[in-house]
Amino acid sequence: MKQTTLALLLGLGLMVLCGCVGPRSEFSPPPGGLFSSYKAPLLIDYDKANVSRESGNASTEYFCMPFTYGLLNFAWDDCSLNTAAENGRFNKVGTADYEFLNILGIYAKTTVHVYQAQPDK
Amino acid sequence: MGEVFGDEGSKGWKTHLKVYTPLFGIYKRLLTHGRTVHPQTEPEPSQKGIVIMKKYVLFITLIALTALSLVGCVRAPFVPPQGLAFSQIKAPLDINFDDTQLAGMNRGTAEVMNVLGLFTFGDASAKTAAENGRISTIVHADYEHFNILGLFQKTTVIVYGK
Repeated sequence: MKQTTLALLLGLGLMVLCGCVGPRSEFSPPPGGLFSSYKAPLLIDYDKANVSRESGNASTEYFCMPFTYGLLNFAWDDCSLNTAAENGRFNKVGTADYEFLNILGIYAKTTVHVYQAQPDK
Repeated sequence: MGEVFGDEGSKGWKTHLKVYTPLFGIYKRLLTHGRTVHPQTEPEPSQKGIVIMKKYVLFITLIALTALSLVGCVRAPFVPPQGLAFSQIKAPLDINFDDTQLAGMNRGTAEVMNVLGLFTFGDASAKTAAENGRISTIVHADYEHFNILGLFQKTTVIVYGK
């Protein structure tokens, strides 16, 4: 019993002390404490926003050394709108979503997906 | 004067010692009694089941509390008050209503689910919602959130367009 309680507390401590893993966007569903893999809208201002099949994406990654109380965590790469549009080889963005993957608060990956706007008629 | 005070002081200490020593003795006995294990205090076989049951209840309560403490809330520009025990709300996701005409528009949905506050999975992106509603131009979006005791949550993005 004591061992189970200790394991639960350690697990919680690991999750809590592993830094700010969740993305801070205007819209996000409830995150999972142990595992998250979801896609959600990044742009929430839809004034006739186009959703085309042409898309581009860019992502950042995060790694936290377990049991270091959030002191040894690393984040790197580029998930900017510009890079995502460049990767999709277009320059006019219609709408955007984001994708978030989190495993135990140790590894996280945030991907921005952008979709090309339809050309003006 | 000094001797008188000294005598009274020493008498006072003696009185205190006489009163408190037995009390300390009782306290000490109580402490040692707590430490020793008497065969009579061990639970009987019929009571052992109750003890195990209590441990399980405590364990389940601990897990439920952990799950509840991990229950996250949906984040949006506009969120009405949510119930921790039960929630079924629908609210606007897009709060800019310029060029927002909903009459005769198609509707598409996409959803994300959360189980026990520990696992989140699904695809509630605008792209998927638009594809599900056969929409190429989105004019407005709402969202819906459903929660039962933090054990199961579902967040649905609803898009409207042509």
